[in-house]
Amino acid sequence: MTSPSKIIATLLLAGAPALSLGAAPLDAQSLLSSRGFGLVVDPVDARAAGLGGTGLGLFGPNLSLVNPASIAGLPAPALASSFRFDSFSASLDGAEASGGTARFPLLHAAAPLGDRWSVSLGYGGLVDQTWAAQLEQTDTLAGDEATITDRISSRGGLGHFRFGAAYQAGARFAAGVGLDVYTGLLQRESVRTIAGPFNPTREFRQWSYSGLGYAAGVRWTPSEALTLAGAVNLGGTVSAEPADTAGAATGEYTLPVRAHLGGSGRVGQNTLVALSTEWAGWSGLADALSPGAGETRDTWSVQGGVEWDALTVRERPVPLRVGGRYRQLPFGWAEEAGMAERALTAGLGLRLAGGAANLDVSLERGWRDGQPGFEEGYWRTMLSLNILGR
Amino acid sequence: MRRFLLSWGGAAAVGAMVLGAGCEDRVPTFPEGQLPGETRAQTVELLLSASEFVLEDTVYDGFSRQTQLGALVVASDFGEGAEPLQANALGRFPLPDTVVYTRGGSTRSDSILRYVGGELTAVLQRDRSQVDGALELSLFEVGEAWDTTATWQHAARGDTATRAWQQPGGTRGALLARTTLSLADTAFRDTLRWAIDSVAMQRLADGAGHGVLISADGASARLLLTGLSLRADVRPAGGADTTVSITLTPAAQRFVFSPEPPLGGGAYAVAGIRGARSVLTLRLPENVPACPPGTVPACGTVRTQDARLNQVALLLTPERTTDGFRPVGTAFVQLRRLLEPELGRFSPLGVPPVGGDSIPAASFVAPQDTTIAFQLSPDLVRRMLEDDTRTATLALLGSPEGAYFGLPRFRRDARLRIVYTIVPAPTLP
Repeated sequence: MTSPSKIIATLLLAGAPALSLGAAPLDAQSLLSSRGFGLVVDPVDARAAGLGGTGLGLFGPNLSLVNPASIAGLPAPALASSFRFDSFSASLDGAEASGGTARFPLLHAAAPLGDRWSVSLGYGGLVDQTWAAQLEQTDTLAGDEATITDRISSRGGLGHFRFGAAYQAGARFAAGVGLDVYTGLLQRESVRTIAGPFNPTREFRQWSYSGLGYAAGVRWTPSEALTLAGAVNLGGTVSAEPADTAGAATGEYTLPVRAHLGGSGRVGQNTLVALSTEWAGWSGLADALSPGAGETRDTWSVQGGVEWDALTVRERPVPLRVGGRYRQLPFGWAEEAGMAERALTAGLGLRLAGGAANLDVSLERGWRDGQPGFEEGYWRTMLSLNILGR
Repeated sequence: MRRFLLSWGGAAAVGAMVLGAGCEDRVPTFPEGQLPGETRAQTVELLLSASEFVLEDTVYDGFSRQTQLGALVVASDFGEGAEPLQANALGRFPLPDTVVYTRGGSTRSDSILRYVGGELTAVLQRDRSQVDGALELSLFEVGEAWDTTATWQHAARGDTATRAWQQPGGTRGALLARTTLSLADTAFRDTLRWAIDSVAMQRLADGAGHGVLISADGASARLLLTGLSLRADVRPAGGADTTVSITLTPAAQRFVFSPEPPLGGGAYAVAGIRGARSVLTLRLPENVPACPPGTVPACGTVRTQDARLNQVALLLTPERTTDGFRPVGTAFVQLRRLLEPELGRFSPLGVPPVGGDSIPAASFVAPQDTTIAFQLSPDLVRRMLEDDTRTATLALLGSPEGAYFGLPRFRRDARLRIVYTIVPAPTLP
């Protein structure tokens, strides 16, 4: 039984990142944030990221938001928070662009409820819609040549709160369900600045996203060396409501069904191999997107990695991880653009306080391409802290 | 130990996350030509002629008095035309009968035995004066009484009595002194001096007290003088070997000029010695083109309220003039809103100004037309668009009012320049 003081301490620690979360809930950026419905992001922690992004099917309880069943079997309340820093550079038809951001992709708290049930509340990102474009031109105004600068920007995205519950049925099987409450904000702005005695012009629109989705998942551990898992996210419908501007359009988007399969197996005493795949039906969103949004397609991804925990430092195990990922991206500039992402990952973990806390770090190097004339490279660093109350 | 690591290690890691999340985002910027599906804004410049936006216009004067100029004007054959500008300055000094002075450590008050000389000085305002060559400035006694209502023709113009000068421009008595002004003289430092000998100074003291008159001859000139001051050197009765200097400022001063400023002639007049104001009632158009002229296919119009206005400016062309009242030096012209236009000339003016510009004197003599753009303030434009009539009544006036002798005038063919941008509304993905 967890003491009240431990629960309070865990919640107080949760409060600090939650304050930042309210200010900056979104994930990494890319030029692809501007395409279709945005750049898809994964609500996983640094351990999963170090394993190529494998968010389900890992041994034992796990606080990723991919599989609702992953929280089953928690011995004590737990909190997971992840911080991610992205930096990218891209070229598009010979012109260079770059960007970066720091975000919280995941915040998840879970607690056992009796011997078999676990409940959780978490927040994770889904799509990032943050981008900006700046263009300059000159024109003759008021008898003089004037420099005109246009800045068009979009800021926001979509995330979801997950209310989850999982049931551990026996030692080998667990099932879970989740209710996703979609939330988000999208701000779009066009500003034209004319050098000289001219007032700038600005058009601004803001929409709030809301909607419901559902998730279900299972975890099966047929032996001590193998865990398999599956999850499905029924996307649901997200509506975009304008803030207060008369005449601004509303939007309705049917989010895709996403199916995940994965597992991990022990190879030797200190080595874990993890592998997963995902399918997402993004093509169903095509009709809801504005004209000129470009390609919208269903996607597959495969990711996996190896974790080796034979290394110890001061008698504490330091798991080392390597992984990789190939993922098709649903949106692009042209029809049949065929955008895809490949990544190599690495990571390590530190177990603190006798296993009461895990600090994980991952580093990822990725590439995105597909459409002729476009290529993008990025570096991603993630830091996760999982605290298990005892 | 476990508690320590749990609390401090966790807090440190969370703290690092919070601090890191505060790092400023670097938003990706697209290369040119790859805007993600947005259409570009269009900026349009629209020029309206006076008939399209001026509903009414009128010129008033009488909003300033000569004393507001804070200076004296002296002019000699200034300007071309049938009547070049002439102007003389008048000053009356209260020469005393007694003097207070210190001698041997004690303060004494004595009657004045006699005046032994002195000097009249005045400061030339170079940036508001013009002289074409060497100019002779003469100092005369004024030959008859005058007051501060004097004009070129009249020595006094009271409510009950009006008395003409015996000599227009001020009746001249004895010549007291002369000085020469040449702006090419590098030794000249802006102070004009008339040395007055003992006989002349005694005449000023003994005379009827009509004061002095300054007139100019020899070159075309218009001078602005300030700081008129008389230094009188006296011998007190109790100290024949003592000379005491007394500095006096005028008890009254005025300048008289001819002809009168040309307020008629179909132009907008501003400022000048009579404090002219030109009042215009403007109306913004209800609709503006939705795209630049010549766009194919042609587009319709949008309500002016819905266009994003970058600039609304009243364009005026200075009327070139060579008469004696042309501006010399830079004039600042303001636009102010009439708060109660139905009161006409008696309407109070709004604060702050809704536009203004500094206009160099060269604009009124340049061989080519120049255009002065008075940008209307965004607040004024917003008020006009919020009003059903889309109108505003504005006054063009000098600032500060009464501070300019010169009379800037503008042609009545005003134009209104409206620069606006049609910005496509941001859309959802």
